[in-house]
Formats: sequence, C-alpha cells, structure tokens
Amino acid sequence: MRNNIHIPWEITVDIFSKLPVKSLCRFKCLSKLFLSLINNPQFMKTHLSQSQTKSQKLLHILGPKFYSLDLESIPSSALPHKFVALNIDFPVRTCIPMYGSCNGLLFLSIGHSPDDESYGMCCVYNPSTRELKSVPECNLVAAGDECLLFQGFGYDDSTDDYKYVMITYFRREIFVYSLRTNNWKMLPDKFIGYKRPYFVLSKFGDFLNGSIHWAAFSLHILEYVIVAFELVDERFKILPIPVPTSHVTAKGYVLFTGNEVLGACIFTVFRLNDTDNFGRQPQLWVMKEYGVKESWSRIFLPNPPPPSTKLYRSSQPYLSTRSFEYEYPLCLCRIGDSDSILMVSHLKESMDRYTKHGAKCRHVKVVSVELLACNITDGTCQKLEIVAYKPTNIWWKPLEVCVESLVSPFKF
Amino acid sequence: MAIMYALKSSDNEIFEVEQKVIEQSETIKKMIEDGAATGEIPLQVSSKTLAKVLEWCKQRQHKTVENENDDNKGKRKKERDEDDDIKEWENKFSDELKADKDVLFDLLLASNYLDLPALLSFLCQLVADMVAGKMPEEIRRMFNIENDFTPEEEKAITAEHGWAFQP
Repeated sequence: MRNNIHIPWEITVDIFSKLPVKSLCRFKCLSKLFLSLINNPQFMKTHLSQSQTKSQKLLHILGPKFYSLDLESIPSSALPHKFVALNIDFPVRTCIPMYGSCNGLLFLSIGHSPDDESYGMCCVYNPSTRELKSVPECNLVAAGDECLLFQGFGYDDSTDDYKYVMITYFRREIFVYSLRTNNWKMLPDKFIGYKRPYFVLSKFGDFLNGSIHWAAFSLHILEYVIVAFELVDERFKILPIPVPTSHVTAKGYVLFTGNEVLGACIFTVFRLNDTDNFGRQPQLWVMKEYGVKESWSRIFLPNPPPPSTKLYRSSQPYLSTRSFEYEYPLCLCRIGDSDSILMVSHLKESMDRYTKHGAKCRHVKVVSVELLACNITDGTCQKLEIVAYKPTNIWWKPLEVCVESLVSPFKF
Repeated sequence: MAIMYALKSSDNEIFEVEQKVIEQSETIKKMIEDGAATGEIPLQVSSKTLAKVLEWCKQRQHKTVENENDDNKGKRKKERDEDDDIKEWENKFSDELKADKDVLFDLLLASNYLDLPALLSFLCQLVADMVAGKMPEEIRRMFNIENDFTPEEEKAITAEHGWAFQP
C-alpha cells in the first residue's frame, strides 16, 4: 500500500465514529490528538448515534460473573447452536442485578443480599469501556421503607444527564439520582399512586423517548395503562393501551421497547381472556407514533406461539408461590440478519428477606434461564444456548440488552 | 431522451453519463446549476477512481428508479428481494476495494470531493471494519499518525485498557 495518504480529519473522525468501543479503547494510545478525540464528549455522542443504528448487545449477569454477547454477530442460520459469551472481568465480586440501562450504561446493584456489607450500594457501569462509578447511598429514604415499588434508568436530553428513579413501596416517595450532580433528591410530590390507585406490573422500567415506562393497572379507572415518568420535568403521565381492559389478563400484560434500528417504539404483548373473541393467542402491538393511541397497530405473528406460552413480566411481589416459572419478551432486536423478539424464560424461587431496618422484602432468585429468539418474519422460534452461562445465585433481572457505547459515567 | 454529460478525469479520459446518475454528486450538481458545465466537466479524480464512483452512482440510480415504478401490491416481497440484490452487489464492490486499498483510499477522497454522502458513509464503515481488529502501530502507519506520547505515557494508557488488547 502507498504511504503518505492524507485523509482529511473529518473523514478520519467519521471512520473512528464507526469503530467498536473495544478498538477505540485500544487506539487511545495512538497519539495525543486521538486520545482527546476518543475522550471528547461530543465524539462519544456521535459514536453513540452510530452505535444506535447498529447492533444491540446482550449483557447478562450471573452471580459474580458478568457476560456479554453481541446479538448481531449471531448468524440466524446458525440457530440453534451454542454461543460463547465474552466474560467481562467485573471489578466487584458480589451479586449484581440490573436495575436498568440506557445508551450503553447499566444501573446495577452491587450488594444485593442483605447479608452483604455493601447492601443497597449501586453503581453505574459501562461494560464496553469497563468504567464503573459508585453511586452514593440515598440517605433520604425513611427507615423501613427501603423496599421499592418500581424503578428505572434513563437519559434527560435537556440537561444532558442520566437519571435513576425509584419509588418506595410503602410511602410511595419518589427519589431521583442524577449522574451529573452525583446526588439524590426526593421529589416534593409522592407517586400518584399513594393511595394505591395504581398497581404496577413491571418493576423495572423501559426507557424510550425521554421517559421511563412501566406496565400498570389503574385502580381508579379500572383500566390497564402505561405509566411513564418524564425525565425532563420529572413527572408522571399515563399512556393508553390498545385493547380493552376486559380482554387483558394481568399476567399477560407485558411492555417492552424496540431499538433505533427497528423504530424506537413501545411494544406490548397481551395474553387475552378465554372468553373474548380473539382467542387466547398472545397479541403483539406496537405504538408507532409515541403517545398516540390511534397509532397502536397489531403485528401479526405468522406462526404465533401456542396458547400455553406464558407471557409474564414483572416483579410480581404478590405471587404467593415459592417457585414459579415465567417467560417474557426482553426486547425486539436484530438477531443475525432477522428481526426477532428475544424471549427469556425463568424458573424462579422467591423468599422473604429482611432489610437492616427490619422491613420485609421478597427476594426472587432465578434458578434457571433460557433464551429464545422468535423471528417475527417467519415465526420460527429457536433456543439460544450460551456456553458457560450457569445461572446460579442470581437475583432479579439477570439480563439486559443495550447498545455498546463510549458514554462514560464520569464525563458526558 | 436522457440528458448526457461528459466528465473529464484528471488523466483526460472522458466519461459520458446521464444527468440523473451524476446529479447524486452535490458538487457536480452545483457545477451544472451554475452553468459551469457547458462542455466537458473537468474533475480532480483519476479515471480508475471515477469509473468506480460511476459504478456506485449507477447502482444507486437503478434502485431509486425501480422504487418509483413499484405499485404497493407485493412491494414487501419485492423490496426484500431487491435488498438482497443490493447487499450482494455491495459485498462484491467491498471485496474489490478491500483487495486494492489504494483504490479504496482514492475513492474515499473522491467521494468527499464530489460530495456523495452515501458513498462516503459506506466507505468509512468499510475502512472501520478493516481496521477494527488492528493494533495501534498498524493504524499509525495506515493513517500517518505520529506518536507524540513518551514511552511512559503510552505504557500508562495501554495498561489502563489492557483488556482491549486481548483477542
């Protein structure tokens, strides 16, 4: 190859913005100019917008080990086969459930078991750059109210800030952590559901379009709705669901989001009552225009899963069984070269634990995890077996899907 | 009858091209609009590179025309087949460029000069895919980057990202 090719700087930046994060971390030592480019917050944003048009990574957690698998690297024709996931040397050796993710950042609990010294400690982690920032303990929560009703993590565009929001179980108080200020605050108003007008079905929210979303049932209007928390003005709003409430069964109402490639949308899956005219097939709906009820459209699966397929997702702290199994869609993403719904099937055990202030919290332990890739074009469903994935001693939400990004928990 | 334009490469070769094909280049479109292109349009691009540029533009033009003629019936199936065809064509195009990196870099510069954003983005991704797995020393050679770190500084940065050097 010829030497002394002069590539204009803006083209070089364009090329670099399309590189995987791992390559960029390796190329930081090229020169001072490249180090400052790769560490530049504006470049991080350009890279993120490139990344969002491409692959989604599957990240999962099991006990003290942390694995990552690039979903797009899986050729769909290779299913069902075994896949090797990358073992990330996570710096903290303890149980680490996922509380949410956004733009490649994960919000994790690093001391989940009440027996741990670091109980209740959280961190923001970017598994692509391996940067970890500890989150200070929230000392605003009233003693005995440590159990959470629901929680979520997202990005506030107006202040260029990442925020984690949690709502306590008993007092329904709302606490917001800002990554930029590294501080917690309690919002002046309690959650609209202080007197229980809402029954929240999903514990961990999905971030989309500036808001975090949870599946819920309003005891006030007796309808299933989507509860959304807008990060910009830090208030709740309600979005409609596409089917009449009378058709929906609680355990069959599931919410999940698509990614940028397939259109950033909210999806719901419903398992309907036996008595209605739709039959018991799960229905998949997409909200094409955010917030517009009329834009809900049904996606007809060519080969829908059999009626016995369980579609549940949520904390379900209300379930009385000690051991239960459920299956839920994690996300709509591109697996290999086809659009698929990634389904997770869990076998769980629940048990009651006590916080350091004596409050009873139900903890759920995942006994086994199975992943299924359901192709929405041809309706085929294949098992995704991951080598070395041994789900032992994992707690809430052992899986999370997110893009890979350079976004640093320290500077953005 | 399609309007034809004559493009002149830097080594004085003439290419006869349809207006629709060449108007994808914002640079040439502007030259035509400004009336600067009455006879041959002189370009600072070699004939070898220009031939590649036109190959790309013709393929893109082909795609746009077919989509215009589509009726809605059976569009999805047709689109999917077309996507497959385009993918196949792009793969062949990429393979040829990967085999001759001089042509690739000339084409990269030409797509910038001719203001062809789709081609530029396609080539940037191609280069990114080619260099993603390389070591810093190879990248410095390829992009003519001078290492201005002291050995100690370089070692410190490398050590911080040791995992990124593992396969």
